[in-house]
Amino acid sequence: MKRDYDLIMEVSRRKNLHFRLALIHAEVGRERVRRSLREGKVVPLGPAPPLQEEDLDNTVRIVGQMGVEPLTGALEAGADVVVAGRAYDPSVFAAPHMGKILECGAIAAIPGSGSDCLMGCLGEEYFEVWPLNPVRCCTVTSVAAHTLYEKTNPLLLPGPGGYLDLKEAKFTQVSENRVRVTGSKFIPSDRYTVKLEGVKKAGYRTVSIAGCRDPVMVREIDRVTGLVKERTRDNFAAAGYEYTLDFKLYGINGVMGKLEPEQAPHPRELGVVIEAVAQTQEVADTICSFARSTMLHCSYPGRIATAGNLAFPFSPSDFRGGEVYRFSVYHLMEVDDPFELFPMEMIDV
Amino acid sequence: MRYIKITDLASVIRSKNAGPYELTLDIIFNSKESFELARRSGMFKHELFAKLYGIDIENVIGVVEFEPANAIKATIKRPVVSGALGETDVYGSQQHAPLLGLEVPVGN
Repeated sequence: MKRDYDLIMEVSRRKNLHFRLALIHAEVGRERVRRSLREGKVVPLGPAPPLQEEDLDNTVRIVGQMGVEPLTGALEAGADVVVAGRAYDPSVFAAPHMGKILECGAIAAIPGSGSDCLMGCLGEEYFEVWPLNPVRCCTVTSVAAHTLYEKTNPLLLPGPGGYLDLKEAKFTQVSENRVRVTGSKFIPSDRYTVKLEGVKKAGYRTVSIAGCRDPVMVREIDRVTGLVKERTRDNFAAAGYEYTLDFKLYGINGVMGKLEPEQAPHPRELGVVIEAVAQTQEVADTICSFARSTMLHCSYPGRIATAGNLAFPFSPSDFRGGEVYRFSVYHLMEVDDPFELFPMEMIDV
Repeated sequence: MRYIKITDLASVIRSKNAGPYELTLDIIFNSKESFELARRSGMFKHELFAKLYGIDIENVIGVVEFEPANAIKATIKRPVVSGALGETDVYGSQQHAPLLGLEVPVGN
């Protein structure tokens, strides 16, 4: 947000532009969340676990997803330009169902594209959407299908301050490339809630990328990764490092991990990503490097090639991935009004 | 009993995160008829998705039919929270392959 603000200031200085700019902040302080948590006003969203105060202690940043009110509020206060922090994606369109379709641009058209826009027109009891690019069409299926996108249940779509009920939504083709939608309803909730998203630091990452073509090594890969983990554990037992060592095995289950249902035959080539995450970057480097050299030279049953078990595409072979974060807050917080968490500054540029 | 490949009935089969804790699977059929055929087969139940992904049935959060899009959608709990250690697909967009082998039973 700061970067965007700086960019706008730079451009307006250069072009000698003058306007009123609203800055709407979306970061929520830990203590603010803690207060609501103690009042029982913070509940998990979906399968997220209940929030604990310890989670908050370790959380480095929390944002709230603003609804439409802070944005329309800024316009009503005379803003010409609004720079806002985290917002519910459809909020910028001030029309929940239409906004949900427009926010991904021409993805709701055929052929779909994320780099093209859609036009939306809001009427009393309906809205219409259509693409501006003549090669695309909005069809009943393309628009209705987008309602499914990235959502758990397309019939009830929760958002800030209420939910969208699409049980009676009708999609009609009104011209070759234009679709009209009627019957979608926004049902305000009794209590206004805002979605919070927060992260805590999981450590620092270093990875090494390699390939493997030896059929015996490919066959024995599970044994090899087990052995490398064990050697690494033994070697650093006295150092007391806290780390995670993981192997992504492309060609086996590198993409689906635990969800992979197929026991396919062994691949001809195997892609290996060795991943170490530790409390400091130096420890992550050390773990990754030890695991990589152990994997390169370790012995396994039936080994016939003794000069090295891995093919490295790059030298140096290891890469720092930097800081790693994970979700610690994914919860709904009840607020007194939609503006409460989103303070606005008005600046005359 | 005759079977039709899902790829002959559907125009879109895809997976994606629905928030960091859930993975959602969309099957969008190529016509009203194909959708009705799939719906009538009664095969799109929690059990099917649990079996396809080797997960407990409690981790299938829901299966929904969405008539305006001729679509059936299932949502499962992610095995790890998006981006957590052990992640293989941060956005969940390559978890659909097990659906591609489905076959829908139709009457004789």
